Amino acid sequence: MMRQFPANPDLTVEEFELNMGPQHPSTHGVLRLVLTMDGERVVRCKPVVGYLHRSIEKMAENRTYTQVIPVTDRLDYCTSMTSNYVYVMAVEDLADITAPPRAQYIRVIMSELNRIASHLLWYGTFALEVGATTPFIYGFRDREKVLDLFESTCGARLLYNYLRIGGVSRDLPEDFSERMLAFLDEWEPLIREYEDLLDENPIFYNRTRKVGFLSPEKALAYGVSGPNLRASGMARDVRREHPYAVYPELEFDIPVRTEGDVFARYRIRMEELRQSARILRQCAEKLPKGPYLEPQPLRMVLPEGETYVHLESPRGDIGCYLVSQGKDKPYRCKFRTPSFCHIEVFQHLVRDCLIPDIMAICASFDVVLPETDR
Amino acid sequence: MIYDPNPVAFWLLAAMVAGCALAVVRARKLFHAGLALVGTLFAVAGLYGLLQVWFLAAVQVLVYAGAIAIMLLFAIMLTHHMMTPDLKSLTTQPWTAAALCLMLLAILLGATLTSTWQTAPDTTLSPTWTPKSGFQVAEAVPSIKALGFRLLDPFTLPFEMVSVLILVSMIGALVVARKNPALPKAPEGREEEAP
Amino acid sequence: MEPIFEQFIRDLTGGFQVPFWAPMLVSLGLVLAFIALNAMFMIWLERKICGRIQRRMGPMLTGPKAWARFSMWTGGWFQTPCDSVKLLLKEDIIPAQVDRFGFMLAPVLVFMAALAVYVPLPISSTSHAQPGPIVVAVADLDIGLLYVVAITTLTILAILTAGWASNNKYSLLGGMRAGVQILSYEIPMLFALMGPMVLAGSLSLGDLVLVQHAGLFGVPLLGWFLVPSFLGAVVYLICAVAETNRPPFDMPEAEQELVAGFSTEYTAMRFAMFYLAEFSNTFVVCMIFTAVFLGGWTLPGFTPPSSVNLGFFSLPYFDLLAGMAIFFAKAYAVVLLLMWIRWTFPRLRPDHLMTFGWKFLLPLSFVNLLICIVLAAIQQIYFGGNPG
Repeated sequence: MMRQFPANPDLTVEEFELNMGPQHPSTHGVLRLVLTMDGERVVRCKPVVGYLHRSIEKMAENRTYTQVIPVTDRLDYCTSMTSNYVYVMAVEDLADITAPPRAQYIRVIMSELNRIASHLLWYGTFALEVGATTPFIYGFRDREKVLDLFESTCGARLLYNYLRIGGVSRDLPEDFSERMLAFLDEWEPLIREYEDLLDENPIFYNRTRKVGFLSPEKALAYGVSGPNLRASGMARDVRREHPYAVYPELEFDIPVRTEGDVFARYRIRMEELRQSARILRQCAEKLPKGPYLEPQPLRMVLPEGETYVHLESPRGDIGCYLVSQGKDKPYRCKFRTPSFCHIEVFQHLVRDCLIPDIMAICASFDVVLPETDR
Repeated sequence: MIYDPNPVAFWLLAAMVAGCALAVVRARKLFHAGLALVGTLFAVAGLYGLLQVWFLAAVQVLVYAGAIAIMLLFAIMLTHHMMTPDLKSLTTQPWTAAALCLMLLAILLGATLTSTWQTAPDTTLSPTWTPKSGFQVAEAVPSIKALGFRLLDPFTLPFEMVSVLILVSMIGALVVARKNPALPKAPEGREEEAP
Repeated sequence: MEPIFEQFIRDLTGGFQVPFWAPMLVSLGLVLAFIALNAMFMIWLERKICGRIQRRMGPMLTGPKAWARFSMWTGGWFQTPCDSVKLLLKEDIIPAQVDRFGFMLAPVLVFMAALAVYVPLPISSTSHAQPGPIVVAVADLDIGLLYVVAITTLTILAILTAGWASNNKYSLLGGMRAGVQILSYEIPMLFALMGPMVLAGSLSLGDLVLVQHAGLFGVPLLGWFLVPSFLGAVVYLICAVAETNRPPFDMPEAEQELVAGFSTEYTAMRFAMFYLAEFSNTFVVCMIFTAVFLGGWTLPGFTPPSSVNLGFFSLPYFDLLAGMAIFFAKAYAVVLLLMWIRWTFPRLRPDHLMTFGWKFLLPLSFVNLLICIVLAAIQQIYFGGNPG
């Protein structure tokens, strides 16, 4: 591909194609970017997704409603709880079941803990993509403590399969609240430590400020959601706009920044860590006694109908569209995943950037490929 | 004392100069030719070192084998045929060229063999080095110091003129390069047109 | 090297005259052994320091269990020897589409540069059985500093060749980045080193150390060029990190961007050559920093005797050994500083790197040069002669 300069037709620049991924250290799994490069400068970027397609939606059509739950774990391995949750929410909406209050609180606790775990993972990998190795270990170190909490609750550290239609699979352990509060007390000051490593570092600042600017109009046009949308100045959050579970009873802020660049997306997630901790403290205080599950038949049959529910996952607005034809298996189960939209818009932001910026922008969107490809 | 360079080292370096120079013109890949040129320049630096003119040797490596050769390799990488594996020589008159080269060789050889060479080293320009004590720090007259004095005392005007010349050529290069207004903008994360 | 070696052999054998090539071979052997062993130690240290910074232990399992139980600093000693053996035994793969000549030449070139740069580095001095203090170096060239900078350019050539010959776009980008980076940072580095050169009135690293020991304005500690040429020291250190491609300046091999940059296609011993050369170069810049800015093997107001009497026997060359201990202690202090930097900072972006080098470091090194010239003039006018 030759590009000519209008003023001087003799002078041409040879562009070349660079296949970044599907095997590349920093394309988060198996994203493939077909880059047209002019030296280090990106002329065009074409993301190719689908390398991790496991046909989760099709698999769901061949399983009973309960059997689908472990499949949704694999939707987004970084936040299995919210993936569980959105599916369970859709089924409960169709079957008109309301989980007992204790289960509602447990679900919120799990969602927020998982948000912390996911954001910590993101913090580590994001810092790694801009070349700082140490924050990676810091993020993972504290994520382990969250995973310990999960392990004591449901026995698993990554794919929880914890939520059930009508509640959760088992009650919280006796001392869960104390241990969670102890963790929060220990961990909350450490957020400051994460920020100390990056915030005022001129290298980091220069690499993230004014890089990958996403305008609010464009963000909305592409269906960007979650922290990425809030970093572009839109105070949109499903927890606030379509409150579910016990979120209306809880006090929390929605951090917003107007810069719309990589730095803003980083700051938003740091603030969300604090807000999640705040929600968790309230939950520990308000957690009611009572049943944790309203048992359902193993092979439950849903009435005919369709529904669409969505909630706020750490990555953004995750939705589930469920169609039932009155059988024991879903007729159609479609997931609306935020990462897919983020990859879509990401290709426009990297144009005219340098290779390192691709990494910074890609990481700042917190793209998770299993969720994109499904 | 008169310094006697090691003949083995001299012949090795001389062979390297000649071999690499031959490779420059014979190499099929441009990049190999560039590498061979670096080899030639480096071997010449070795010859300077053998003659104990360390400053010249270091400058030869720093400026020629280092900076200029690398600029050359960059330029080669920018050429269109960089990745072409087999580049045919463009020479259409090999015999004429060979005759010219032989003539040049004859002239150079004649000049070399008939000249009378100064054999005693200029004491102000060479370090005092003895096999027994190495470079004497205290008593040595560092050649580089002498060189500096010479540059800034009798040769100030030519020295300054050379620097002005280099400045002029640099500015000239900038002006020539700036003629094209359609150069790509400095990369920065700017907003694309709306979808 | 020669005079001390010859003296040593004469002392030992009672007057044996060594052939002229013996000191060269011995120096070569010593430097090679030093590069290999020191790189192994540095890699182990790097892992431990990195572990400490990241609140982990680093390697703990290889080597005797008892050592690991004693302290985290004694565990995992055998990790780097094991790694070396692994790299030695690995299959040497030359991909089919590479340019074989360049591909095989590059590791040799890079190692050659790493080896040659040791020649003028002075590690100590001795006055044992000598008329005056003799600097211990392979050869204390009187253009030492210039030589070091000149040899470094060979590294660019090697990396550029590796990048081009690998026939891989990531390698090529890495090679180009390395070329531009090292070439650009060489200029502020040279200007940063010019301050000490002016102060000492010499380019020989041995002279530089001796001048620092003599002191500036008659004050010994002021003589450490870290003080009068502080800006130069900072600029040099930054440029040195950039020259050795260490993080945060590791753009040429940035894992997250270019997979492994110019060394993407290399395996086994060829890769190990790059790795070894990188660690060797890191240590070399620390040695240069020590010699040029930290007073080398000297301590202010401390002159070790040339031999000490331990009662039952007299230890010759004591000043040599003490000097070496001081020198390596200082050099390792700088190494630790570089490791600290490495595990703390994010990576720069190539264009920021260029801006930083040309628009910030270069003017700063000019300022440093001016300050040094003024100081040298004051020294010359009021305290007589160059400090040297």
